[in-house]
Amino acid sequence: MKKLVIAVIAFLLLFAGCSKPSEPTEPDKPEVKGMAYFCRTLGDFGFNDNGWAGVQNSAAKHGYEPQAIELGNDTATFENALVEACDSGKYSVIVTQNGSGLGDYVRKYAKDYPEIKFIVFDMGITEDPNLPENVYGIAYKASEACFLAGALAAKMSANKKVGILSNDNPGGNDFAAGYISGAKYADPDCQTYYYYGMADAAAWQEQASSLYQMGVNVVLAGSGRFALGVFNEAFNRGGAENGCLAMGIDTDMYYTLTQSETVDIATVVLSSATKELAYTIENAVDRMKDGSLPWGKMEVLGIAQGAANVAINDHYKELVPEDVQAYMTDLIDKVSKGEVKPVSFYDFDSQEAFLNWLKPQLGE
Amino acid sequence: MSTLSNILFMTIRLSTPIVLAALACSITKKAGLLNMGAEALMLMAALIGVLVSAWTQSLIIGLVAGLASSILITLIICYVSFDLKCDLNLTNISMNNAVIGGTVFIMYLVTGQKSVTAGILNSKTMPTVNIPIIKDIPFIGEVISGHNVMTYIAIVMIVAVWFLLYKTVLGLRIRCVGENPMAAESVGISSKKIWYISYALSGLVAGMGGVFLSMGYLSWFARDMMGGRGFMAMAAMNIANGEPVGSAVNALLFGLAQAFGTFIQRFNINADLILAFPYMFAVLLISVLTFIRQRQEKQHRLNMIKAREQKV
Repeated sequence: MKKLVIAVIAFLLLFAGCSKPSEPTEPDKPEVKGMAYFCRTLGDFGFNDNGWAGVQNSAAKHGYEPQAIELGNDTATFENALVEACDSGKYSVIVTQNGSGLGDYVRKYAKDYPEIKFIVFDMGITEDPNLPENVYGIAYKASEACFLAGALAAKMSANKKVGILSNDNPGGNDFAAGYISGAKYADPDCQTYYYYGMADAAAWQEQASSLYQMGVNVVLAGSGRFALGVFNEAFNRGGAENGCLAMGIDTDMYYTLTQSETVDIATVVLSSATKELAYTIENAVDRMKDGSLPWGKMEVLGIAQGAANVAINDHYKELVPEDVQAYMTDLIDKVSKGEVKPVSFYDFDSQEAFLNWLKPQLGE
Repeated sequence: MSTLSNILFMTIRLSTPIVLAALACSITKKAGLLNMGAEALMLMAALIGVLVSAWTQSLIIGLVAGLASSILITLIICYVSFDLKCDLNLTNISMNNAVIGGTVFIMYLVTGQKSVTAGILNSKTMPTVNIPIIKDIPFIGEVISGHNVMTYIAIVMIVAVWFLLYKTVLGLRIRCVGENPMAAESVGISSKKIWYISYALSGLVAGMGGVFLSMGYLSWFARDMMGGRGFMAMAAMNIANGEPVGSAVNALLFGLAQAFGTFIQRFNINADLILAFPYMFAVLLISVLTFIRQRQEKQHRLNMIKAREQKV
């Protein structure tokens, strides 16, 4: 009975891609054209959707059949899902995010499936860069994008106060390290605030409310899903006219929001610190096709490689004065050349070292 | 707005859904039933409210549909527990799980999204109200005025639920059944009928909390958006032993704890402590009040024994 239940659950979870998990690849079907994309849940307006866009584009370009495998929130099922997808023999390329242990499972199982190519994105900068032969890893310098976002925020803040709301994990702390160092670089007198995000969008809205209440002009929302709470609060407080602006993370949130019906709220989004997931995945598949992809390695990509940036769109050009735009163009250039070095959470040896750096930067 | 008035304003806004859910729990508690399914009721009402109001472009129809959906859930719970004789708590727990997954399923069928409906559905939201004269009073106006209309309905509901339970025939019957179903049966009150009614009323009130979150506080539905508010409400109700006014006050205290948790972040206190604060506060409050109540009961028993000994 128990086995049956487990089998049924596994079947339901994988119905999208792996309904026949144990069937071996047939020898008379040499070319497998499936490209699997592993993610948590699509429809987050951010990270997961962005990667999926990259997979869809490169699949269309190179004649693969894209297939999203959504894993949901139960991390215990992820390992099985990956193995079953590999066993199904339907996929020749598997693209997956690194989070929730997926990267570790790829490290563990990749050598058992030499015929499948794995592309793992959003790896940690500090991870071991040596991967199995058929795996390629991408790490993003999120702190560079956030550094630019912080500098822009400081330049745009009339009260010289900027804030960031982010989760207390290495990724979130990396956003904060970049953002705060950027704000301090652009304007040493600028006051910076860092709030650890709570559990849902409503709580994020309250936290943003508390920040704007203190006179903070720009808040960077370090979560794709909960950022809407922050944008909502900025919009309710009158948006740009009342000095309440917000920034998004990972994807160009202004673009995403204007694609939907929430156009009004989009007006508060000054810019976004982006990880160009779609671009880097497409680029990796292109290089895989012409044979120049360094298999078995993890590459750390930043602004110089076009893998991270601040979103520069029409709305940005409308809101930001010309001299600040010129300053930003100059700063982007400096960062990509390595003349200015953003602070990253991964520069620190420990959480304590990071907090020791962070504390004096915060508040009044 | 000063900092203090800002915190109090935030408290009221954060407490509204918890107050409504706590009232919902208190109605069933008085009928002798623990409503562990408040989370499910709110979640379903939140989703259906958004969907229907987006379809019909009518706030009222959306609200009614949202409340009806949560009442429907209570009727399912009642049928399974009282007619099919399944354990009530188990039914509630499984209903919570079913609705958490089921709302995502429905959302996916309708919108093709699995995490939020924002941007896909343009649903109506309930307006905020500026109370005419009070809004001009310096401090009080800033705190009390300018809330969502559902917040004021929640305040009315505190009185309404109290009135229902203590001043009406139905309330008397609910409390009778809650004290002793057998005794109530012996004087001709159908306890099953009362349980159905109290659960349906509970669904109505909890549903209000749900639609407030998705159509007032925020303007979209997100998966699992209750975030444990139903359980905090259950804790608030238990601390007050099912009294409606006490439950609402406790819910307000939880809201204050959340608002305070947000506020103290500006002093850079350790993050883990901040995130745990509202929940720690709930545990602390429950422990202290239980301790006091047990001491009172012990004292009461001792007094009884003493009185008996004196008689002998």
